[in-house]
Amino acid sequence: MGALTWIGRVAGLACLLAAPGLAQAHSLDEILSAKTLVVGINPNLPPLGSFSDTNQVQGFDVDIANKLGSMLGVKVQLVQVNSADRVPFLITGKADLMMGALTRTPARAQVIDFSLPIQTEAISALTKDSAPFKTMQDLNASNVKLIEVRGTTPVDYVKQNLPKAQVTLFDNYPDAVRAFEQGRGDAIVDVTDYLGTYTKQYPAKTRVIADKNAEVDYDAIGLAFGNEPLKAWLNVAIYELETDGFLNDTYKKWFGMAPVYPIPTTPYF
Amino acid sequence: MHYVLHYGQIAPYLPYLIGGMAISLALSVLSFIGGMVLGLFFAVIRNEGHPILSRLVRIYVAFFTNTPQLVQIYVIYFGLPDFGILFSPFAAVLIGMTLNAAAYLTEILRAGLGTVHAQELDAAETLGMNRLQTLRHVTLPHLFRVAMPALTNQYILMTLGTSMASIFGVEELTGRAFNINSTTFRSIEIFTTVAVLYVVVTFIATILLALVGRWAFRARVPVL
Repeated sequence: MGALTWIGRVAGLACLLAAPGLAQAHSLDEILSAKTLVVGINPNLPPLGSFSDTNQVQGFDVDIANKLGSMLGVKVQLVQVNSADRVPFLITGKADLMMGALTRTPARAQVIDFSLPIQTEAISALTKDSAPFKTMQDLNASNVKLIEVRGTTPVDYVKQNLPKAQVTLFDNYPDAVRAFEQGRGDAIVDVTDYLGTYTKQYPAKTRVIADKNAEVDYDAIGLAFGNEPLKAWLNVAIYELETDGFLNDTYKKWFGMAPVYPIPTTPYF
Repeated sequence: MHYVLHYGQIAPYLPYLIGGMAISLALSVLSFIGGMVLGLFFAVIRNEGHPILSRLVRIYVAFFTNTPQLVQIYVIYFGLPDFGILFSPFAAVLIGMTLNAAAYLTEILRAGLGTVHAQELDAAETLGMNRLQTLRHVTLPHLFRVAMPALTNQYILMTLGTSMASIFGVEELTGRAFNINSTTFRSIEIFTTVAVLYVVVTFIATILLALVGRWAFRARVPVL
Protein backbone atom coordinates (compact mmCIF):
# COMPACT_ATOMS: atom_id res chain seq x y z
CA MET A 1 0.00 0.00 0.00
CA GLY A 2 2.77 2.35 1.04
CA ALA A 3 4.75 1.67 -2.08
CA LEU A 4 1.69 2.14 -4.29
CA THR A 5 0.92 5.46 -2.68
CA TRP A 6 4.44 6.60 -3.40
CA ILE A 7 4.33 5.42 -6.97
CA GLY A 8 1.08 7.33 -7.29
CA ARG A 9 2.59 10.47 -5.83
CA VAL A 10 5.65 10.28 -8.02
CA ALA A 11 3.48 9.62 -11.06
CA GLY A 12 1.25 12.52 -10.10
CA LEU A 13 4.23 14.80 -9.75
CA ALA A 14 5.64 13.59 -13.06
CA CYS A 15 2.30 14.38 -14.73
CA LEU A 16 2.38 17.86 -13.26
CA LEU A 17 5.92 18.52 -14.41
CA ALA A 18 5.55 16.95 -17.83
CA ALA A 19 2.40 18.80 -18.83
CA PRO A 20 3.64 21.88 -20.70
CA GLY A 21 0.43 23.88 -20.47
CA LEU A 22 -1.77 22.38 -17.79
CA ALA A 23 -5.03 20.99 -19.10
CA GLN A 24 -7.78 23.13 -17.69
CA ALA A 25 -10.68 21.62 -15.77
CA HIS A 26 -13.94 22.14 -17.58
CA SER A 27 -16.20 24.91 -16.38
CA LEU A 28 -19.94 24.36 -15.97
CA ASP A 29 -20.56 26.08 -19.33
CA GLU A 30 -18.01 23.89 -21.11
CA ILE A 31 -19.54 20.77 -19.58
CA LEU A 32 -22.98 21.84 -20.74
CA SER A 33 -21.87 22.62 -24.27
CA ALA A 34 -19.71 19.48 -24.58
CA LYS A 35 -22.57 17.48 -23.05
CA THR A 36 -20.04 15.38 -21.15
CA LEU A 37 -19.24 15.26 -17.44
CA VAL A 38 -16.00 13.42 -16.64
CA VAL A 39 -16.14 11.74 -13.22
CA GLY A 40 -13.29 9.92 -11.49
CA ILE A 41 -14.30 6.61 -9.89
CA ASN A 42 -12.19 4.10 -7.99
CA PRO A 43 -13.27 0.71 -9.36
CA ASN A 44 -11.51 -1.17 -6.57
CA LEU A 45 -13.39 0.27 -3.64
CA PRO A 46 -16.65 -1.63 -3.18
CA PRO A 47 -19.38 -0.71 -2.59
CA LEU A 48 -18.44 2.74 -3.96
CA GLY A 49 -17.06 1.29 -7.15
CA SER A 50 -16.38 -2.23 -8.36
CA PHE A 51 -16.55 -4.25 -11.55
CA SER A 52 -19.83 -6.00 -12.27
CA ASP A 53 -20.23 -9.46 -13.83
CA THR A 54 -20.18 -7.79 -17.24
CA ASN A 55 -17.00 -5.86 -16.36
CA GLN A 56 -18.83 -2.55 -16.04
CA VAL A 57 -17.95 -0.24 -13.17
CA GLN A 58 -20.85 -0.08 -10.74
CA GLY A 59 -21.51 1.15 -7.23
CA PHE A 60 -22.66 4.01 -5.04
CA ASP A 61 -20.33 6.51 -6.71
CA VAL A 62 -21.44 5.42 -10.18
CA ASP A 63 -25.11 5.88 -9.30
CA ILE A 64 -24.45 9.35 -7.85
CA ALA A 65 -22.36 10.34 -10.89
CA ASN A 66 -25.06 9.18 -13.30
CA LYS A 67 -27.74 11.00 -11.31
CA LEU A 68 -25.71 14.22 -11.43
CA GLY A 69 -25.22 13.74 -15.16
CA SER A 70 -28.93 13.29 -15.77
CA MET A 71 -29.69 16.38 -13.64
CA LEU A 72 -27.33 18.38 -15.85
CA GLY A 73 -28.65 16.71 -18.97
CA VAL A 74 -25.19 15.54 -20.04
CA LYS A 75 -23.50 12.22 -20.64
CA VAL A 76 -21.30 10.88 -17.84
CA GLN A 77 -17.87 9.62 -18.75
CA LEU A 78 -16.21 7.60 -16.00
CA VAL A 79 -12.45 7.59 -15.58
CA GLN A 80 -10.91 4.97 -13.35
CA VAL A 81 -8.60 6.22 -10.63
CA ASN A 82 -6.82 4.79 -7.63
CA SER A 83 -6.75 6.64 -4.33
CA ALA A 84 -3.47 8.40 -4.99
CA ASP A 85 -4.65 9.60 -8.43
CA ARG A 86 -7.63 11.51 -7.17
CA VAL A 87 -6.12 14.93 -6.48
CA PRO A 88 -3.64 14.91 -9.42
CA PHE A 89 -6.47 14.02 -11.82
CA LEU A 90 -8.43 17.09 -10.73
CA ILE A 91 -5.40 19.37 -10.88
CA THR A 92 -4.50 18.23 -14.39
CA GLY A 93 -8.08 18.41 -15.63
CA LYS A 94 -8.36 14.70 -16.34
CA ALA A 95 -11.62 14.65 -14.39
CA ASP A 96 -14.25 17.31 -13.68
CA LEU A 97 -15.54 15.63 -10.55
CA MET A 98 -13.74 13.19 -8.29
CA MET A 99 -15.33 10.54 -6.14
CA GLY A 100 -13.87 7.47 -4.39
CA ALA A 101 -14.40 8.39 -0.71
CA LEU A 102 -12.49 11.65 -1.07
CA THR A 103 -12.17 12.95 2.48
CA ARG A 104 -12.25 16.71 3.05
CA THR A 105 -8.93 17.74 4.55
CA PRO A 106 -7.32 21.16 4.99
CA ALA A 107 -4.27 19.98 3.06
CA ARG A 108 -6.33 18.94 0.05
CA ALA A 109 -8.48 22.07 0.29
CA GLN A 110 -5.38 24.12 -0.56
CA VAL A 111 -5.22 22.57 -4.02
CA ILE A 112 -8.75 21.41 -4.88
CA ASP A 113 -12.32 22.38 -4.00
CA PHE A 114 -14.87 20.22 -2.24
CA SER A 115 -18.62 19.95 -2.61
CA LEU A 116 -20.96 19.40 0.33
CA PRO A 117 -20.29 16.04 1.95
CA ILE A 118 -22.08 13.05 0.49
CA GLN A 119 -20.83 10.38 2.88
CA THR A 120 -19.24 10.03 6.32
CA GLU A 121 -16.51 7.73 7.51
CA ALA A 122 -15.92 7.08 11.20
CA ILE A 123 -15.16 4.15 13.41
CA SER A 124 -18.07 2.26 14.93
CA ALA A 125 -18.62 -1.26 16.20
CA LEU A 126 -20.58 -3.99 14.47
CA THR A 127 -22.03 -6.53 16.86
CA LYS A 128 -24.78 -9.15 16.93
CA ASP A 129 -28.24 -7.84 17.75
CA SER A 130 -28.35 -10.20 20.72
CA ALA A 131 -25.06 -8.95 22.22
CA PRO A 132 -25.33 -7.00 25.50
CA PHE A 133 -23.14 -4.04 24.46
CA LYS A 134 -24.70 -0.58 24.50
CA THR A 135 -21.81 1.85 24.11
CA MET A 136 -18.36 1.68 22.62
CA GLN A 137 -16.79 1.60 26.10
CA ASP A 138 -18.75 -1.60 26.91
CA LEU A 139 -16.33 -3.29 24.52
CA ASN A 140 -13.35 -2.29 26.64
CA ALA A 141 -13.37 -5.42 28.82
CA SER A 142 -11.03 -8.38 29.03
CA ASN A 143 -13.75 -10.90 28.14
CA VAL A 144 -14.62 -9.10 24.90
CA LYS A 145 -13.17 -10.59 21.72
CA LEU A 146 -12.74 -8.18 18.84
CA ILE A 147 -12.05 -9.13 15.25
CA GLU A 148 -9.95 -6.74 13.20
CA VAL A 149 -8.22 -6.62 9.85
CA ARG A 150 -4.45 -6.49 10.02
CA GLY A 151 -2.86 -3.22 8.98
CA THR A 152 -5.98 -1.04 9.14
CA THR A 153 -6.32 2.14 11.22
CA PRO A 154 -9.07 0.67 13.44
CA VAL A 155 -6.37 -1.61 14.92
CA ASP A 156 -4.68 1.50 16.31
CA TYR A 157 -8.04 2.86 17.47
CA VAL A 158 -8.63 -0.37 19.42
CA LYS A 159 -5.16 -0.21 20.97
CA GLN A 160 -5.83 3.30 22.22
CA ASN A 161 -9.50 3.21 23.13
CA LEU A 162 -10.29 -0.43 23.90
CA PRO A 163 -6.98 -1.70 25.30
CA LYS A 164 -8.57 -4.37 27.53
CA ALA A 165 -10.31 -6.26 24.72
CA GLN A 166 -8.76 -9.35 23.13
CA VAL A 167 -8.05 -8.90 19.43
CA THR A 168 -7.88 -11.52 16.68
CA LEU A 169 -6.44 -10.27 13.40
CA PHE A 170 -7.36 -11.46 9.92
CA ASP A 171 -5.91 -10.56 6.55
CA ASN A 172 -9.07 -9.49 4.77
CA TYR A 173 -12.62 -8.35 5.37
CA PRO A 174 -14.47 -11.45 4.07
CA ASP A 175 -12.53 -13.68 6.51
CA ALA A 176 -12.94 -11.23 9.39
CA VAL A 177 -16.69 -10.94 8.87
CA ARG A 178 -17.07 -14.71 8.49
CA ALA A 179 -15.17 -15.27 11.75
CA PHE A 180 -17.41 -12.69 13.45
CA GLU A 181 -20.57 -14.29 12.08
CA GLN A 182 -19.41 -17.74 13.18
CA GLY A 183 -19.06 -16.49 16.75
CA ARG A 184 -15.28 -16.19 16.93
CA GLY A 185 -15.61 -12.65 18.22
CA ASP A 186 -18.13 -10.30 19.80
CA ALA A 187 -17.65 -7.31 17.55
CA ILE A 188 -15.72 -5.78 14.67
CA VAL A 189 -14.52 -2.23 15.23
CA ASP A 190 -14.09 -0.55 11.88
CA VAL A 191 -15.80 1.83 9.48
CA THR A 192 -18.62 -0.66 9.67
CA ASP A 193 -20.63 0.91 6.84
CA TYR A 194 -18.32 -0.95 4.48
CA LEU A 195 -19.09 -4.30 6.13
CA GLY A 196 -22.76 -4.30 5.08
CA THR A 197 -21.86 -5.94 1.75
CA TYR A 198 -20.43 -8.92 3.65
CA THR A 199 -22.86 -9.21 6.58
CA LYS A 200 -25.88 -9.37 4.31
CA GLN A 201 -24.71 -12.86 3.23
CA TYR A 202 -25.35 -14.14 6.77
CA PRO A 203 -28.63 -14.69 8.59
CA ALA A 204 -27.73 -13.26 12.01
CA LYS A 205 -29.18 -9.83 12.82
CA THR A 206 -26.47 -7.29 13.46
CA ARG A 207 -26.43 -3.93 15.16
CA VAL A 208 -24.05 -0.98 14.94
CA ILE A 209 -22.77 0.90 17.97
CA ALA A 210 -21.67 4.44 17.17
CA ASP A 211 -18.98 6.18 19.18
CA LYS A 212 -20.18 9.48 20.69
CA ASN A 213 -16.68 10.89 20.45
CA ALA A 214 -15.89 9.56 17.01
CA GLU A 215 -13.80 11.69 14.69
CA VAL A 216 -16.08 11.82 11.70
CA ASP A 217 -14.48 12.22 8.28
CA TYR A 218 -16.64 13.88 5.66
CA ASP A 219 -16.23 12.58 2.14
CA ALA A 220 -17.18 14.98 -0.59
CA ILE A 221 -17.01 15.28 -4.34
CA GLY A 222 -13.78 16.94 -5.37
CA LEU A 223 -13.41 19.43 -8.20
CA ALA A 224 -10.73 21.72 -9.57
CA PHE A 225 -9.70 24.67 -7.41
CA GLY A 226 -11.74 27.75 -8.18
CA ASN A 227 -14.29 26.06 -10.44
CA GLU A 228 -16.96 28.12 -8.69
CA PRO A 229 -20.09 27.84 -10.91
CA LEU A 230 -19.73 24.05 -11.09
CA LYS A 231 -19.27 23.89 -7.32
CA ALA A 232 -22.31 26.09 -6.69
CA TRP A 233 -24.44 23.91 -8.96
CA LEU A 234 -23.07 20.73 -7.38
CA ASN A 235 -23.94 21.88 -3.86
CA VAL A 236 -27.52 22.72 -4.82
CA ALA A 237 -27.80 19.35 -6.55
CA ILE A 238 -26.39 17.48 -3.55
CA TYR A 239 -28.77 19.30 -1.21
CA GLU A 240 -31.61 18.20 -3.46
CA LEU A 241 -30.41 14.59 -3.47
CA GLU A 242 -30.04 14.67 0.32
CA THR A 243 -33.53 16.03 0.94
CA ASP A 244 -35.41 13.93 -1.60
CA GLY A 245 -33.86 10.77 -0.15
CA PHE A 246 -31.88 9.75 -3.24
CA LEU A 247 -28.53 9.79 -1.45
CA ASN A 248 -29.86 7.79 1.48
CA ASP A 249 -31.65 5.24 -0.73
CA THR A 250 -28.60 4.78 -2.91
CA TYR A 251 -26.49 4.39 0.21
CA LYS A 252 -28.80 1.67 1.54
CA LYS A 253 -28.84 -0.02 -1.86
CA TRP A 254 -25.05 -0.35 -2.03
CA PHE A 255 -23.95 -0.44 1.61
CA GLY A 256 -26.80 -2.64 2.79
CA MET A 257 -27.38 -0.27 5.72
CA ALA A 258 -28.18 3.34 6.55
CA PRO A 259 -25.17 5.60 7.24
CA VAL A 260 -23.86 5.03 10.79
CA TYR A 261 -23.05 8.73 11.13
CA PRO A 262 -25.67 10.53 9.00
CA ILE A 263 -24.93 14.01 7.65
CA PRO A 264 -27.23 16.68 9.13
CA THR A 265 -28.87 18.44 6.19
CA THR A 266 -29.11 22.20 6.16
CA PRO A 267 -30.31 24.51 3.39
CA TYR A 268 -27.55 27.02 4.31
CA PHE A 269 -24.23 26.32 2.71
CA MET B 1 15.95 6.88 -4.82
CA HIS B 2 17.69 4.72 -2.30
CA TYR B 3 16.39 3.02 0.79
CA VAL B 4 18.25 3.25 4.09
CA LEU B 5 17.98 0.19 6.29
CA HIS B 6 17.04 0.89 9.90
CA TYR B 7 17.20 -2.35 11.82
CA GLY B 8 17.21 -0.30 15.03
CA GLN B 9 13.54 0.51 14.49
CA ILE B 10 12.51 -3.12 14.75
CA ALA B 11 14.90 -4.09 17.55
CA PRO B 12 12.25 -3.35 20.24
CA TYR B 13 9.99 -5.91 18.55
CA LEU B 14 12.54 -8.73 18.75
CA PRO B 15 11.05 -10.30 21.94
CA TYR B 16 7.62 -10.12 20.29
CA LEU B 17 9.00 -11.91 17.21
CA ILE B 18 10.75 -14.54 19.33
CA GLY B 19 7.43 -15.13 21.12
CA GLY B 20 5.92 -15.74 17.69
CA MET B 21 8.76 -18.11 16.93
CA ALA B 22 7.81 -20.13 20.02
CA ILE B 23 4.24 -20.44 18.73
CA SER B 24 5.51 -21.54 15.29
CA LEU B 25 7.74 -24.08 16.97
CA ALA B 26 4.90 -25.37 19.17
CA LEU B 27 2.69 -25.79 16.10
CA SER B 28 5.32 -27.65 14.09
CA VAL B 29 6.51 -29.90 16.93
CA LEU B 30 3.00 -30.86 18.08
CA SER B 31 1.71 -31.50 14.58
CA PHE B 32 4.86 -33.46 13.70
CA ILE B 33 4.47 -35.69 16.76
CA GLY B 34 0.75 -36.15 16.06
CA GLY B 35 1.48 -36.78 12.39
CA MET B 36 4.20 -39.34 13.25
CA VAL B 37 1.88 -41.31 15.55
CA LEU B 38 -0.95 -41.30 13.03
CA GLY B 39 1.43 -41.84 10.11
CA LEU B 40 3.14 -44.86 11.70
CA PHE B 41 -0.25 -46.34 12.47
CA PHE B 42 -1.48 -45.74 8.92
CA ALA B 43 1.77 -47.01 7.39
CA VAL B 44 1.44 -50.32 9.23
CA ILE B 45 -2.20 -50.58 8.11
CA ARG B 46 -1.16 -49.82 4.54
CA ASN B 47 1.51 -52.53 4.62
CA GLU B 48 -0.13 -55.33 6.52
CA GLY B 49 -3.66 -54.25 7.49
CA HIS B 50 -7.02 -55.43 6.31
CA PRO B 51 -7.52 -54.63 2.58
CA ILE B 52 -10.51 -52.38 3.28
CA LEU B 53 -8.63 -50.41 5.96
CA SER B 54 -5.63 -50.24 3.66
CA ARG B 55 -7.86 -48.83 0.91
CA LEU B 56 -9.29 -46.23 3.33
CA VAL B 57 -5.79 -45.10 4.27
CA ARG B 58 -4.92 -44.80 0.58
CA ILE B 59 -7.94 -42.58 0.01
CA TYR B 60 -7.00 -40.49 3.04
CA VAL B 61 -3.43 -40.06 1.83
CA ALA B 62 -4.55 -39.28 -1.71
CA PHE B 63 -6.98 -36.65 -0.45
CA PHE B 64 -4.59 -34.89 1.92
CA THR B 65 -1.56 -34.95 -0.35
CA ASN B 66 -3.48 -33.69 -3.37
CA THR B 67 -5.19 -30.68 -1.82
CA PRO B 68 -3.42 -27.57 -0.54
CA GLN B 69 -2.88 -27.46 3.21
CA LEU B 70 -4.28 -23.93 3.27
CA VAL B 71 -7.56 -25.18 1.83
CA GLN B 72 -7.69 -28.02 4.35
CA ILE B 73 -7.24 -25.66 7.30
CA TYR B 74 -9.71 -23.25 5.75
CA VAL B 75 -12.35 -25.98 5.70
CA ILE B 76 -11.63 -26.91 9.32
CA TYR B 77 -11.58 -23.30 10.45
CA PHE B 78 -14.39 -21.72 8.45
CA GLY B 79 -16.33 -24.73 7.17
CA LEU B 80 -16.90 -26.83 10.30
CA PRO B 81 -18.45 -23.98 12.35
CA ASP B 82 -21.42 -24.16 9.97
CA PHE B 83 -21.93 -27.67 11.36
CA GLY B 84 -21.57 -26.49 14.94
CA ILE B 85 -17.90 -27.46 15.40
CA LEU B 86 -15.90 -24.42 16.44
CA PHE B 87 -12.18 -24.90 17.04
CA SER B 88 -9.97 -22.15 18.40
CA PRO B 89 -7.57 -20.71 15.80
CA PHE B 90 -4.60 -22.60 17.26
CA ALA B 91 -6.51 -25.89 17.52
CA ALA B 92 -7.89 -25.60 13.98
CA VAL B 93 -4.43 -24.99 12.51
CA LEU B 94 -2.91 -27.75 14.63
CA ILE B 95 -5.56 -30.28 13.55
CA GLY B 96 -5.21 -29.27 9.91
CA MET B 97 -1.42 -29.51 10.00
CA THR B 98 -1.49 -32.83 11.86
CA LEU B 99 -3.90 -34.42 9.38
CA ASN B 100 -1.84 -33.10 6.48
CA ALA B 101 1.44 -34.24 8.02
CA ALA B 102 -0.02 -37.68 8.79
CA ALA B 103 -0.72 -38.21 5.09
CA TYR B 104 2.82 -37.32 3.98
CA LEU B 105 4.43 -39.17 6.88
CA THR B 106 2.38 -42.28 6.11
CA GLU B 107 4.00 -42.41 2.70
CA ILE B 108 7.51 -41.71 4.02
CA LEU B 109 7.21 -44.31 6.78
CA ARG B 110 5.59 -46.87 4.49
CA ALA B 111 8.48 -46.56 2.08
CA GLY B 112 10.86 -46.93 5.05
CA LEU B 113 9.07 -50.00 6.33
CA GLY B 114 9.36 -51.53 2.89
CA THR B 115 13.15 -51.50 3.18
CA VAL B 116 13.21 -53.70 6.29
CA HIS B 117 14.44 -57.05 4.98
CA ALA B 118 12.49 -60.20 5.71
CA GLN B 119 15.80 -61.79 6.82
CA GLU B 120 16.19 -59.15 9.56
CA LEU B 121 12.77 -60.01 10.93
CA ASP B 122 13.52 -63.72 10.67
CA ALA B 123 16.77 -63.18 12.56
CA ALA B 124 14.93 -61.28 15.30
CA GLU B 125 12.44 -64.11 15.60
CA THR B 126 15.26 -66.63 15.76
CA LEU B 127 16.83 -64.62 18.58
CA GLY B 128 13.56 -64.97 20.49
CA MET B 129 12.42 -61.35 20.29
CA ASN B 130 8.73 -60.68 20.69
CA ARG B 131 6.89 -58.27 18.36
CA LEU B 132 7.54 -55.22 20.53
CA GLN B 133 11.22 -56.01 20.88
CA THR B 134 11.47 -56.58 17.15
CA LEU B 135 9.84 -53.21 16.55
CA ARG B 136 12.09 -51.42 19.04
CA HIS B 137 15.40 -53.06 18.15
CA VAL B 138 15.06 -54.04 14.50
CA THR B 139 12.26 -52.35 12.56
CA LEU B 140 12.38 -48.81 13.96
CA PRO B 141 16.19 -48.40 13.83
CA HIS B 142 16.17 -49.62 10.26
CA LEU B 143 13.15 -47.50 9.37
CA PHE B 144 14.55 -44.29 10.83
CA ARG B 145 18.01 -44.84 9.44
CA VAL B 146 16.49 -44.97 5.98
CA ALA B 147 13.74 -42.40 6.47
CA MET B 148 15.53 -39.82 8.64
CA PRO B 149 16.49 -37.41 5.83
CA ALA B 150 12.96 -37.49 4.43
CA LEU B 151 11.47 -37.02 7.91
CA THR B 152 13.75 -34.07 8.65
CA ASN B 153 12.81 -32.58 5.32
CA GLN B 154 9.12 -32.99 6.08
CA TYR B 155 9.55 -31.42 9.50
CA ILE B 156 11.29 -28.39 8.00
CA LEU B 157 8.56 -28.01 5.41
CA MET B 158 6.02 -28.13 8.22
CA THR B 159 7.87 -25.53 10.27
CA LEU B 160 7.86 -23.19 7.28
CA GLY B 161 4.24 -24.10 6.62
CA THR B 162 3.22 -22.76 10.04
CA SER B 163 3.45 -19.31 8.46
CA MET B 164 -0.04 -19.83 7.03
CA ALA B 165 -1.47 -19.90 10.57
CA SER B 166 -1.41 -16.10 10.51
CA ILE B 167 -4.32 -16.19 8.05
CA PHE B 168 -6.43 -17.79 10.77
CA GLY B 169 -5.64 -15.34 13.53
CA VAL B 170 -2.78 -17.28 15.13
CA GLU B 171 -0.09 -14.75 15.95
CA GLU B 172 2.94 -16.84 15.05
CA LEU B 173 6.19 -15.56 13.58
CA THR B 174 4.88 -14.50 10.17
CA GLY B 175 1.65 -13.11 11.62
CA ARG B 176 3.62 -10.99 14.06
CA ALA B 177 5.89 -9.85 11.25
CA PHE B 178 2.83 -8.67 9.31
CA ASN B 179 1.56 -6.90 12.42
CA ILE B 180 4.82 -5.03 12.91
CA ASN B 181 4.99 -4.28 9.22
CA SER B 182 1.57 -2.66 9.33
CA THR B 183 2.74 -0.19 11.96
CA THR B 184 6.39 0.43 11.08
CA PHE B 185 6.38 -0.22 7.30
CA ARG B 186 9.97 -1.45 7.67
CA SER B 187 9.23 -4.45 5.45
CA ILE B 188 12.76 -5.27 4.35
CA GLU B 189 14.19 -5.12 7.87
CA ILE B 190 11.31 -7.13 9.34
CA PHE B 191 11.16 -9.88 6.79
CA THR B 192 14.91 -10.38 6.57
CA THR B 193 14.96 -10.69 10.37
CA VAL B 194 12.09 -13.15 10.24
CA ALA B 195 13.88 -15.16 7.55
CA VAL B 196 16.91 -15.42 9.82
CA LEU B 197 14.70 -16.53 12.72
CA TYR B 198 13.18 -19.25 10.52
CA VAL B 199 16.64 -20.43 9.52
CA VAL B 200 17.59 -20.57 13.20
CA VAL B 201 14.50 -22.61 14.04
CA THR B 202 14.92 -25.10 11.20
CA PHE B 203 18.68 -25.36 11.80
CA ILE B 204 18.21 -26.22 15.46
CA ALA B 205 15.42 -28.63 14.56
CA THR B 206 17.62 -30.41 12.01
CA ILE B 207 20.36 -30.93 14.58
CA LEU B 208 17.92 -32.08 17.26
CA LEU B 209 16.22 -34.52 14.92
CA ALA B 210 19.56 -35.96 13.85
CA LEU B 211 20.57 -36.38 17.51
CA VAL B 212 17.25 -38.05 18.30
CA GLY B 213 17.78 -40.39 15.36
CA ARG B 214 21.29 -41.24 16.56
CA TRP B 215 20.45 -41.65 20.20
CA ALA B 216 17.06 -43.36 20.07
CA PHE B 217 17.36 -45.46 16.95
CA ARG B 218 21.11 -45.69 16.49
CA ALA B 219 20.54 -44.37 13.01
CA ARG B 220 23.81 -43.28 11.41
CA VAL B 221 22.63 -39.86 10.29
CA PRO B 222 25.07 -36.97 9.92
CA VAL B 223 24.37 -34.23 12.46
CA LEU B 224 25.43 -31.54 10.04
